[in-house]
Amino acid sequence: MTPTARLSARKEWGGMFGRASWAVAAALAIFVVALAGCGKSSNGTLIPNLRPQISLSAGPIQGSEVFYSVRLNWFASDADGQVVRYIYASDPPVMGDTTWTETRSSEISVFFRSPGPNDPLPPVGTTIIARGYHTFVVKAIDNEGAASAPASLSFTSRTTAPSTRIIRPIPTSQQPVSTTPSLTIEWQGTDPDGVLSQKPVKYKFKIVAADVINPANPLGITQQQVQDYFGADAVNFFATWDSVSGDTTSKFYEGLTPKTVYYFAIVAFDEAGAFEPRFSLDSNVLQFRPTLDKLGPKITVFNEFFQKTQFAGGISLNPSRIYSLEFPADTPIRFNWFATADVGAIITGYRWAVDIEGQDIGNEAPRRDDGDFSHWSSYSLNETSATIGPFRGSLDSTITHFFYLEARDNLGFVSLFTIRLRIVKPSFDRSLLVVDDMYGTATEQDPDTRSINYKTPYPMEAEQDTFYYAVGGFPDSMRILAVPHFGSDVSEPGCFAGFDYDTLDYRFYPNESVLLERLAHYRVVVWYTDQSSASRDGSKFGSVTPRTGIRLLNRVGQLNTLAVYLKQQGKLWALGEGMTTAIANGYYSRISNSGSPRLPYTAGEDARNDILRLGDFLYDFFHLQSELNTAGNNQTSLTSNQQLIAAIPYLPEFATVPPGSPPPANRSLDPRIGPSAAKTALRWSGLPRLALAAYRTSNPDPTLRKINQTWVITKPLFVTEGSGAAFRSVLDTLYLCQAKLYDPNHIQTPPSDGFPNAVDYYGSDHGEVVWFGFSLYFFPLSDARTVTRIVLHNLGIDPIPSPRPTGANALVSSAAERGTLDWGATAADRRTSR
Amino acid sequence: MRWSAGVFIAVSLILVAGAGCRKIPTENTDRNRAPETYLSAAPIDSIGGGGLSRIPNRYRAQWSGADTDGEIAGFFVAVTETTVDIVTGRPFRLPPPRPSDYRFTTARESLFTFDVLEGRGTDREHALYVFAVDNQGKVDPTPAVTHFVARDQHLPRVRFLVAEGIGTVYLLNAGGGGVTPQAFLRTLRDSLELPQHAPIDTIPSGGSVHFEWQGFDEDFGSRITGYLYKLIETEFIRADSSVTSVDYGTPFSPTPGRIPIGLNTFRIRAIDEAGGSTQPDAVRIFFVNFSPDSWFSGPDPNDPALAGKLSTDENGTYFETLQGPPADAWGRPVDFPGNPMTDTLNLLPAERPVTDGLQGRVKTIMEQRTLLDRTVRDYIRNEDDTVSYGALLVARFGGSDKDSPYSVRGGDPDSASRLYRSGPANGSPVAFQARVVTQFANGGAEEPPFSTAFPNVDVLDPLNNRSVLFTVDQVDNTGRSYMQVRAVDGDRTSDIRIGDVVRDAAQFERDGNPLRSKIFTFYTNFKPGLQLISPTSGAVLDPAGDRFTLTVRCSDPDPDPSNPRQGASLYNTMYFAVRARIYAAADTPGPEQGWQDPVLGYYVPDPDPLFFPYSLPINLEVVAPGDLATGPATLEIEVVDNIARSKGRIIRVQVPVFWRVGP
Repeated sequence: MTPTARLSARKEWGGMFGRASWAVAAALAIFVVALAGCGKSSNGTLIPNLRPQISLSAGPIQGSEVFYSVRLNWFASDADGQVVRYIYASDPPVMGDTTWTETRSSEISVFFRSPGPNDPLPPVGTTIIARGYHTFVVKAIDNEGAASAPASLSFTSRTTAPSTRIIRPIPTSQQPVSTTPSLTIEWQGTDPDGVLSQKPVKYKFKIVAADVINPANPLGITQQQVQDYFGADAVNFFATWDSVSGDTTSKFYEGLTPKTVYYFAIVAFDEAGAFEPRFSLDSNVLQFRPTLDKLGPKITVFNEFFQKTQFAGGISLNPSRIYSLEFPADTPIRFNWFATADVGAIITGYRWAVDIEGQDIGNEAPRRDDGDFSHWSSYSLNETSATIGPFRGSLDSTITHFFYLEARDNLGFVSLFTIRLRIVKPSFDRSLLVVDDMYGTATEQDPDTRSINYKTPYPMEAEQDTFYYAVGGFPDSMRILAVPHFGSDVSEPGCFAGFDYDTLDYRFYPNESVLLERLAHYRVVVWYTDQSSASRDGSKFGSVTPRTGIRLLNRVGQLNTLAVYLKQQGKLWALGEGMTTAIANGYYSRISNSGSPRLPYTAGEDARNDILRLGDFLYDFFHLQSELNTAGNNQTSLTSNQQLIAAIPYLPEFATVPPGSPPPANRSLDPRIGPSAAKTALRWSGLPRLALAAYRTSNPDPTLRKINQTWVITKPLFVTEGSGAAFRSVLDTLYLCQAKLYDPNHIQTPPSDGFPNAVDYYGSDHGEVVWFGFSLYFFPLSDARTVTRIVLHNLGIDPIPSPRPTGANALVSSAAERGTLDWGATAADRRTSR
Repeated sequence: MRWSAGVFIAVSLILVAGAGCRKIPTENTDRNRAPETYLSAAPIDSIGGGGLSRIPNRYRAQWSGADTDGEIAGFFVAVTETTVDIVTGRPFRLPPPRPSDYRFTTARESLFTFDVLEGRGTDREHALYVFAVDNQGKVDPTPAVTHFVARDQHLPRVRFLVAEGIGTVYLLNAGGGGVTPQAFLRTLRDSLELPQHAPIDTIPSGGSVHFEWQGFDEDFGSRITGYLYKLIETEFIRADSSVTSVDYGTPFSPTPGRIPIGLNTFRIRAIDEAGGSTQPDAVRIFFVNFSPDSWFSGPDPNDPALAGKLSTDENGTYFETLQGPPADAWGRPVDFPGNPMTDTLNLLPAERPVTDGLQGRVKTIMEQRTLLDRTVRDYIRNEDDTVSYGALLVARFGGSDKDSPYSVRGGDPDSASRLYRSGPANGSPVAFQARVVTQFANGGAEEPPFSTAFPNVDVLDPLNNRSVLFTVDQVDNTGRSYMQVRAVDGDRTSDIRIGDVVRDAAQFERDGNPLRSKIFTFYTNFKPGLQLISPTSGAVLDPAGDRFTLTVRCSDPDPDPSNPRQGASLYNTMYFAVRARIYAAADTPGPEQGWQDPVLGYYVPDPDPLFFPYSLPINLEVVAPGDLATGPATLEIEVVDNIARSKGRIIRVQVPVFWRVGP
C-alpha cells in the first residue's frame, strides 16, 4: 500500500467511526453503569464482608459405612457477594491447619483410603473387607477471600481387599517348590471392586531365605510363622518391601543359592490403599528351593520335514539319544531349533557343528571361519538355524553325517542334540509307485459262489483295488465287475493298467512310516487314501485303528520322507479326499494331542487355528496357501447342496459361451472357467468331465448322485515365482467342483460350487505335485483311466509301449524278477480281480 | 442507518478473518529432488532369509549420500535392537526405530559398539537405519537399512586374585579340658557349580570372606565396564570397573549381617563394553559352619579324681551310692568334688574330658542298678558290658565346636526366642541329642528318634531337663543296644556323621574308623540261672503213666523292679516262665514243637544259703509223647525271666535221660 492510499484509507475509517460514535458512546456508558452496579459501594459506612455459607447436600450418611468411592455434593451461597471457589480436605488434623485442595466444582468423587483389614483376619478363601474412617471437610470462599464455616461429614469407607495369586511356579504349602537358581515368578492380582480397574494398582514383594524367618529351624517353618513374619510389616504398609506397578506381574531372580529355601511373598494394593494381609503358602507366598539337580535344557530341532524334541536334556552320547534322519543327497539341509530351559532358567546360547573334528564333542578348537562346520560355532542366541550340506550321496553305500547342536542356559547347564543324517541319493530307477493308504473293508469271498459279500460303504478293498489295478479283459470270476453298475462279466482295465508300476499297500507294509530309501527309487509316486482312513489315529502296530502312512509322516516329530522325496525332485499325485484330511490331522499333532483342526483350513497368524502355514505339507508342497474347505460332509441332509456331483476340467472348451453365461442344464459347461484356462490347456487338454458313475451304493437316479465330502479351494490362490520376465504362475487349476446346487453367487454356507478341487504345482521348489481333492472310483472307470493317463503323462510316465501283463499277477512277477515282493497279506485280501 | 456501517465493518472483519483461515490450494512448486542414501561399509543385510549376517560388536560403519540437485547436509542415523521376552527368554522381533531414536550427524562414518543383552548370551540382532538430508532439508524417503547380528565374540571373564575365608576357630586342647582360639584363614578354591559335588571349603560360623578379582575380555579393544556380584543378597549388586574387591561378614560388607549358615555361593560377572557378561558366573562356593564333634565323657575309673570314691563287687566298679532316705536321694552317687556324674550346666561341654575310647581312654556310661536285696548301686559300665533289666542308665557327653556362638536355648529346641545362655563361640556345643537303638535278642529291633536337644531349661516345658546327662529311665528289653549321641552347636547344626547306627557300627569296626568311638554298645538283661533238681542228667524215666515231674530252681540276677513284692520278703521278686519237652535223642524237633504249657509265677529267693539266690523248687509235670519209644531221650527245659517273653532272656538246657526200662 502506498502512503497516499494509506492516508485515504485512514480517512474512510475515520468517517465510519464518526458515524458510529454515538453507538459506541452509548455502549460504553451502559458498560460503566453495569460495572458500577456490580461493585460494592466505597462510600459511607464500611460493611464487613459476610462469610459465605456452605452445606453438604449429598454424601454418605453421617457415621455410616460406604463404598470407598464416594461422591459428595455441596451447596454454598454468599449473602453479599459470590462464592468463587471451594476448598476441601480429607481427614484434617484435630489441631492445626491442613493441606486444602481447591476446586470450583460443587461436587467431587473421592477414593477414600480403606487400608484397615478385618481383625482378626477371616479364614483363607473368604474376602477381606478393609475399612478406613474418614472426615471430609469443605469450605466455600467468596469473592473477597472469606471462607465459610467448614461443613464436614464423617463416615467409614470400605473396600474388598485385592488378592494376589502366584501362578508360576505354583506355590504349595506341602513342600518347597524345586526350581533352578534363577527363576521368574509370575502372579495374578485381582481387585474385585475396583472402580477404575479390577487390577491392583501396585504390588509389593519381599524375598527372604528361610533362616531369616526362623533361624533356629529354617526347615520347619509353619504357615503361622510365615503369616507372622510377613504380616508384621503390615503396620507400616510394607514400606521396606520392593514394589512394582500393577502392570508388572513377574519378577526375575538369578543367582540364588542352591539348597537354600526361600520365601517370596507378594501383596497387592488397590485404589483405596487396601491390601490383603494374609500370607498363604498356597497362594501369595512361594516357598521354593533352588537346586542344580537338573539335566539341562530340552532342545527341539525342526524343519519342514520333521520336528523332534528331546525327552530329557543333558549331554549323553548314548546311541538311544541320537536321532536318525534320512535325508536327500545334493540338497542343502536347514535345521531350525529352540530349547526350553528348566523353570526359571533362561537359554543363553546355541552352538552347532557337523562331523565335528575327531567326532569329539569336547573339541573346543574355534572355527577357522564361518564355513568351518567341523568345529563348534560360537555360542549365539540369535543363530537358531543352520543350513548344512549339500552332501553327496551314494547309490551303493550308506553315507552318514552327524549334526551336533548344543544349548546352554544361564546356570551353565548344557544339552546336546545329535542327529545322524543318512544321506539318500535318489536313483529314480523305477517309474511309478502307487501307495494304497486306505483301510477299506476287507474282502470276504463266498467260497461257494466265489462272489463277494458286499458291505457298505463303497469301496471295499477289493473294489478299489480292482478299480485301480485290474488288468482288464479277464472273466470277472469274483464278480467284482459283474455287478450291474459295471455291466459286464468281463473286467475292464483299471486306472493304472498298462503302466509299469509297483504298489505299496501301507496296511501291510512292515514299517511305520515309508522309508525315503524306498521312495527314492521312483520317478513318480501316486498316493491315495479316503476320508474314513484319514480319521484313524492309532499306532500302526497294536492299535485297532491304525493311522494312515500319510498322516504319520505329517505328525510332529516324524521325518516326512515324502517331503524329502519331493525335494529330491520326485513327483507326486495325491489322490482322494482323505489325503488332505490326513495331512491336516497329522500336522495338527503339533498343536494338540488329539482332535483335528477346525474347518475351514485357513492361512493366518493364529498358530492354533490357521493350519495352512509354513511347516504344513499342504502349504509347503501342495501350495494350498489360501483356504480349504469341504464340499459337503457326512450330514447329507444339511450339506447336500454343496456336495460334489461332478468335476469339470478347467479347460477352455468347458467354458460357457459367451463367457459368463449360465450353464446348460446338464452343466457340461461352466461359466467359472475363465481365460486362464488357456494356460491349463497347454499341458492338460483332454481331461474329461467327471460325472458320478453308477458305482455300488450310488443312487440309481443319476441326478441324485453326489459324494458326501470332497475338498475345494475356497479362496483365491496364486502361486508364482521369478521376477521380471521370468515371473510366472506355477500352479494350474485342473478341475472345478460342480456341487449339486449351481451356486454362482456362493450363497450356500459354506459354498463349494465352482471352486477348484484339483491343482497342479510345477514350480522349482520341489518336484511336480498334482493334488486331487476327491477320489476317482466314484467316476466312470474309462474317464478315470483317461485322467490317470493324462496326469501320469504330465508327470513323465506313460504306459509301457508293448502290452504286458499288469495287475496283481504282473506285480508278483515283476517284483519277483527284481527280487522284491511287496505283499504283506494273502492275495485274496489284496487283489481280487483282474 | 449509521448503524449499518458498524455492522458492515464487523461483517467484513469476520469475512476477512475467515478467509485467512482457509487453505488456498496452490500448485506444488517443490521441485527439489530427494537425496539418496548408501551404506558404503556396513554389515550385509540379513533380510531375505539368507542367514544372519554377523559382525563383531565393534564395527565402523560408513555411509554416503547423493543429491542430484543439491548437496547432502547430513544424515539421520538410528540403531535398533531386539529385546527379550522375560518369561521365555526368546528375543522379540526386531522393532523399527522410533523418531526419537534418530540422531543427526554430518559425519559419514562412525565406530559403533553394538551391545548384546546382558546376561542373555553373546549376540543380539540390530538394525542400522541411515537417511540423508539435502541442503533444502529434504530427506531420503527410503532410508538405507541393514539388519545384522552383532556378536560379542568373547564374553568377559573374571579371575579371582584372592578368595579367602577368615574367622576364628576354637581347637580342643589335647586330652580335652578346654579349647584354644586360633585364627582361621582358608583359600576358597571351589569354583565349579556343575557338576554338583560336596562342598570343598568350610569356614567358621561368624567368619568373613574376602574376594579380590580381575576382569578381562579377550576381544580386541574391549574393556571391562563393570561387575555384578552377590553373596547374601537376592539381587546382584552392580559396581563399576573400579570395584575389584568385596568383603562379607565384616562391617564393610555391602549388605550387613552374618554370612548364612550352610552352602554359600559368591558369584560375580564382569561386563564388557558390549554389555556381554561372564557366562556362567565366576563363583566361589563355600560352606559356613563346622559341625560339632561329640563324645562320651562318662566316669573313668582311672581318673585320679575318683580315687577312693569307687568300690568293686562281683558286678563291677561302683560309686558309693546314697540309699536314702530322703527318698529323692535314693540311688544318687555320693557327691564329691570332681564327680563326673554330678552334672552342672556351668561346666561347658568342651571342658569335659574326652573318654571316648580313643588313645587308650575308656568309654563309659553309668548304670544304676537295684540288686536283689534292693540295694542301689551306680556301676561304671564299659563298652559291651551287660546292664541289668530295669536299670537306670546315665550317659554324660562332651563335645567341641570349632566356631558357633554359644547360645543355649530352652524349651522348644526350634525356638529362637528362648535363649538361656549366650555368648561368643567358646568351643562348646550347646546341646546334645541322643538315642538308644536296640536289636532284640528274640528278634526285632527298636529305633527311636533322637531325644529333644538337651539341656532344655524352660520351666514351662514338659520336657524340661536342666542336666547335660542323658538318661534311660529303665532298661526294659533284652538284646544289644547302641547308644548314639549328636552334639548340637549354636547354629543348630548337628554332628550327623553317623546315620544308621547299627550298620555304621559294624562298618566302622571293620574299617577301623575312629567314628566307632561315637557309639556306645552294651547288652541288656542278665540271663537267669537254673538248678536242676530232678530228674538229673542220665536218669532213667519209667513212670507208671506217661508223665513225670520235673523240679528245678531258678534265679534272676536282675529281676524286674516292678514285680510285686512277695509277702515280707526282703528281696526283689523274680518272675519265671518254665516249660519243658521230651523227645527221642535222635530227634531234632522244631523250635516250638512238643513243649508243655509253661509254669508261670513270681518267686523270691530261697533264704537257705545253700540255694540263695535260687528260688524255692518249681515243679512241672511233663507228659511224654505217646510215640516216644524206649531209649535215650532228651529232656529240654526253658526258663524265661520276664513276664513279657519277647523282652525276657531265654535259656534252654538239654538233659540226657533214658525213657522207660521196658514195655
